Amino acid sequence: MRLRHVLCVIVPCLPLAAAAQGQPVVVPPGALLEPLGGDWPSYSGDYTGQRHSALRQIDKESVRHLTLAWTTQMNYSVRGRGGLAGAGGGFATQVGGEGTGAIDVSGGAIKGSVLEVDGILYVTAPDHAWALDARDGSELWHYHWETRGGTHIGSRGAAIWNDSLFFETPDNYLVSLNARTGEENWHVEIASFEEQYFSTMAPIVIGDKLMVGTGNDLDQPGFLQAFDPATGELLWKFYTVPMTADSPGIETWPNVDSASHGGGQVWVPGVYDPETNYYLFGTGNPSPGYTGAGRPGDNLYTCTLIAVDVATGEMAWYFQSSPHDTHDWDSAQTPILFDGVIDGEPRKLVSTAARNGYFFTLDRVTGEPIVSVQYSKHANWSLGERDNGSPEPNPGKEATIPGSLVSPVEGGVTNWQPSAFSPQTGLFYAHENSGYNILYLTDPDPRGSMGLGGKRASFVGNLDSAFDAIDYRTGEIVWRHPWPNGVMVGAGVLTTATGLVFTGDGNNNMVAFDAGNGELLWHTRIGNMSNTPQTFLVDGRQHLLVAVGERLYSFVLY
Amino acid sequence: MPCATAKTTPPEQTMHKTIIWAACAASAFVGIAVAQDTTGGPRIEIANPNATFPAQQRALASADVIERGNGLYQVNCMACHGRDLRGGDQGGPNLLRSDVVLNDVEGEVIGELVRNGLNRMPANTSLDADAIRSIAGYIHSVLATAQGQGAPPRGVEYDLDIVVGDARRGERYFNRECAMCHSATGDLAGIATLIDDPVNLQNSWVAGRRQGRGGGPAPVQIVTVTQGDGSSVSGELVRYDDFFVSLRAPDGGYRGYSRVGTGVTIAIEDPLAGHKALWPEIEDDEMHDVTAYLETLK
Repeated sequence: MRLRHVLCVIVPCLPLAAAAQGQPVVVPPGALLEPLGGDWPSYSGDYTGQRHSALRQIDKESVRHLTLAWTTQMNYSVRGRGGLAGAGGGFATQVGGEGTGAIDVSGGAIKGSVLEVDGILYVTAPDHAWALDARDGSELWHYHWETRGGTHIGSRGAAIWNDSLFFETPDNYLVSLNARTGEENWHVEIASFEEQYFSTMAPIVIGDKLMVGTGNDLDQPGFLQAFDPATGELLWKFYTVPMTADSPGIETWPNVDSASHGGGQVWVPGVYDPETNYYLFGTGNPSPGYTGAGRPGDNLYTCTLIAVDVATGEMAWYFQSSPHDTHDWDSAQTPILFDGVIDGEPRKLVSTAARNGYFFTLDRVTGEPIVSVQYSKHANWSLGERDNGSPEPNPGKEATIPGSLVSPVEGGVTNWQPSAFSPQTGLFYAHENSGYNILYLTDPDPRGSMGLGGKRASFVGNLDSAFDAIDYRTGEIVWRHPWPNGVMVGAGVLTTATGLVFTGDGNNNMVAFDAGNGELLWHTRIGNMSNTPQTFLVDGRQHLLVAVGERLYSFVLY
Repeated sequence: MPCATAKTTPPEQTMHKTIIWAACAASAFVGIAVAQDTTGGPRIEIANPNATFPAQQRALASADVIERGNGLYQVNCMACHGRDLRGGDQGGPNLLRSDVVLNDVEGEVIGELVRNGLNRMPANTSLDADAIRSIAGYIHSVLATAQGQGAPPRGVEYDLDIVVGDARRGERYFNRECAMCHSATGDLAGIATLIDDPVNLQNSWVAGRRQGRGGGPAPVQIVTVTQGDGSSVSGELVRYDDFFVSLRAPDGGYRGYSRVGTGVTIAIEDPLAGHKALWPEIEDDEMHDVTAYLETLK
């Protein structure tokens, strides 16, 4: 711990501590059990992952009157006094980290959820965290992490437990800040920097535990960890691939060396079912990504939806959405929990739309597969579904020396950008990106390559990309909005109780659909969104927030 | 770019290439060091995320040490771990993703394992500390040249022939599916000379736009915009979405139209429509056949 932090521990920030006295905590963990309402206190807003807001001010009529309340370019400056929109009087930028300060990461798009609690926004980017006033976008505090390095691909957001705010850094620290002041409480290392892990996930608070995932491109094993949010103590660690000769799933790998270098990273937040105490999350691709010759078998538990018991970190059930993936199609996307009706029977369900172009509905208690449907019109890598619902990969669509024409492209039919669900329409809303590339095997070595090496992917083109409303009971597309020129879209989705669906169109517009029929009701051309639209109340008024690169836009109805 | 030179090294000159690897690694490190000296200067992009991990950040051993380590590696380690360190015929694991190597700085972790052995690896007490430091220095010099997203260092450059199809079958496919727009003696005469890399040739004909060297954007689409009063104008499509369309009219003028509540309708002629119809239908064998046929059009 460096000197400035030591000082803060010895003299525990007295004025700020006093300011906090008598105030309720920022987010008591029990509040996270509530359905999405006036605040947005966690990655998905609530534990279901539905991204379905109960707020009713913005509806099919009033949506056209949305007004831009403010826009703010995030302040990445690591020196001088930040705060209060440069007007002075704010807190100085807090600086922490284990780096030397030599690597200056003064930028990076907002790719995560923004948290909103009681009129304060909590925003993250790689090596940065901020608090803003939700009323006008003014900066209240700014924390900068001096990095050791690592892959600075994004930050998916923060978590709040009581008065502490948590985020992960690209060089693999879990950082705990005082949510009111931005001052650091502590930081702990969560994965090995030497082994080339990098961390992007938004931590998820469940009671007195923090779910923490990380990422890696160098054939290292994936894992989910639970930490004590008070102390940073590691409580359990769940590997997503077999690490020993007697680990479950080892029969789907040639040997322990292959399995324990098999990837399956946990880089996108999952969801939580309080009734079972299961945390449900998806895992990334097996490694090496494109050269599967050295890892024959299904490669469990990569590209898999997993339920773990939060109390113990033990796996309750799993469902593999891409056995033996050879296209870097992670299945790490956030699944969605809801109650529905299947064949006349009420069921507790989970649905997910995967990067490989499949839509799945399962029993979220038992993991029983109910629907397994390729919803992508163009995906051409599957031979159909096995009896257990998992798709059967076509070995002919792996990278080959003379080239294999494959759809979708590397980015997938969907990706980490969250899909959404509306319990009112019973529809699951997801992007359907369609493109083709020719995959050439450039390293035919039978041992396989490493990481994402060994191939050349030549982009052919995109066509027919669309936004889909999917019936969770059948996987059928109820309505489908094709995007002009078939452009592929990387945007998350929000639904509301007033029958709206917000997302991006890949042509720099944020758009609102009628959730029931797909009619376009509103748009604003602010640039392609880099995260997902969110909504909450500030002083009783419903706001709509989205990030475009390094800039936030907040819309409101007056 | 660092290590581009390795690519041009003939594969048989393995020793030579190894030395180039080391030199590349050294220059890559210098690049990082320079960047770190500019603290307080202008914004520094992390353009190569690969260079931000310790295996690529750390200082290399001297060229002499690396050279000695290379020799010792070949005698003591290569049989099991491979010439390229990615695992060998005797079953030794890939060292470039090994926890032992990644957590080692100058032989302290590697040395302990060498002296004590592990699993099927026998203990070796004949290598002294200096020898182990040299071997570690060599291994780290190779690891330092690893590429982005976990890809290994550029090693053997395979001469991969992608032209495996049957040209006569390809000609029949061409005559059936392509000849309504293209001609082997017309627009495609000499195409294999113009695009002399078969990979680029295949990418180009499938996509419908030239790729690789000399490549360009997709051919322009023609849009016809009809307004509420029935008047219409056609031109080169500039941009459109669900709310807007713009074009370059034949007179060179720019026109933009709102599509929201204006009664504007659009019709687009896509010169790539034929290619796009092909993508979901064509089998890979057919694609290879057509490429083989086009390769005959020198």
